[in-house]
Amino acid sequence: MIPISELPTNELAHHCAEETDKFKRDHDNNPDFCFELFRRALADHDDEALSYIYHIYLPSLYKKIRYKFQTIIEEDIEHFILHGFTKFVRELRSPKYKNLKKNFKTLAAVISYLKTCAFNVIKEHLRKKRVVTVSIEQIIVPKKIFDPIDWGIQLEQIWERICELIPDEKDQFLARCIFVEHLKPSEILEFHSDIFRDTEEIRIASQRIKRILRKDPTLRDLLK
Amino acid sequence: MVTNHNQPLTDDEIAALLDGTAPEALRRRVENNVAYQEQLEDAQFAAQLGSILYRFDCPSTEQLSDYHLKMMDPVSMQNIVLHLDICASCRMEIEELVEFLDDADEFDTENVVIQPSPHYTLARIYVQSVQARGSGRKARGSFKTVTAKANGLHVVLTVSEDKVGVQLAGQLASMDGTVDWEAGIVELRLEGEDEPRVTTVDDVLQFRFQQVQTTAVDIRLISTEGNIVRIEKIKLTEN
Repeated sequence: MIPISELPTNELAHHCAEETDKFKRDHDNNPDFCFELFRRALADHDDEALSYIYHIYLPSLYKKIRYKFQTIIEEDIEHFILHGFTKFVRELRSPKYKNLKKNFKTLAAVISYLKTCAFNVIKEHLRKKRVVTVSIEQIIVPKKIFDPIDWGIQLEQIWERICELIPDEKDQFLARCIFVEHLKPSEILEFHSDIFRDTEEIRIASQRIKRILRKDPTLRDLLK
Repeated sequence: MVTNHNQPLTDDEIAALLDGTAPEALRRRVENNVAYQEQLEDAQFAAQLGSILYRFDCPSTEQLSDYHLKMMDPVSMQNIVLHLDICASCRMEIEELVEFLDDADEFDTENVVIQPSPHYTLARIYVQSVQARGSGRKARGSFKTVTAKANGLHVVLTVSEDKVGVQLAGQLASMDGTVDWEAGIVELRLEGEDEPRVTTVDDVLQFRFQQVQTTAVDIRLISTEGNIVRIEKIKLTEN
């Protein structure tokens, strides 16, 4: 019998597809074929192996995303998968994951990581989309866009100023729920019923906080 | 102007006033009421703050998933634990990831083919033109060069033929440097082949495919940041 490491790539891919199918059906499977295919694609930069991985795993991932994120249009799903796959390949080719089998002890772990890469791309996109949507809806957008490091410092300064203006920890917590998480009063109550009594309490405190912040010239300057 | 001590504006009314869809009667009510105007200004200011501060102190999605997969150092793990204590949004994001990774749901073996789509709505880079720039002969065989230009990106494709067969090599040149194409994925679809071939862009922004056909070639380039360039229906041979 030919050792797995010496199998031609097309045969290896055939076995890997079979074993992956068993894995998906929760049957006993031998992950070594797939590990070797991943090893050739990632460590040896073997494009044939990379293409087979693409064919074996991306269709299932496509279906999974389509099922889980039903509001995302098909074209975008395709984009997210390709972007996720690109990140997966880049990460696993880094020295950090030199020994694939040591870092990912099971085939399930490798597949989970591939899925995670696609998931991260989607969630990152949704976070950015949320910021853009809010900005457009409210018309007001920051006047200056700084480089990311400066911008991060600027955000820290804004938050520090908010905390100076509302020194009470409960108020600060509520401000974070409102401005950082964009939670509605009902959601704030749902997640933090140990802190807030009812939505009325949240509404009144939120109105007071917004008034204090708007009246502060230093905070207004920081937003210019 | 009168000050009205009636009920404050509701969230829906404020939203309608801010996005300009409020009915005339409501706008008039606000114009004639100092308290409502103050409330509206508070809401506008809060919206501005919210648009800037949204998730500003949250770990990135990658950090959250690394935490879930236990792929980070203990100190970073501890920082995430502390953050999760106060942040419902991050807790929900991790719950969604757990659910997404759960294999006990719809996963089956039905063959879903990823079809090429006419365009992308995200990070779109339009291919402006695809034009032949030259051709010639080499000692060991013929070659042809085709240049594709997209916004800020030039793709030079060289087809050469030798004893092994036809090879396609690509060289990327990012003109404005805004997109890093290194380690990006290149997907090649050939007429008559059901599945695409895949390779990666190397550190000198080159890629290569062996044994290709030369008619109706589609190429997609995907950067690690998610930018996509499509070059469609390129003919790599002289008619």
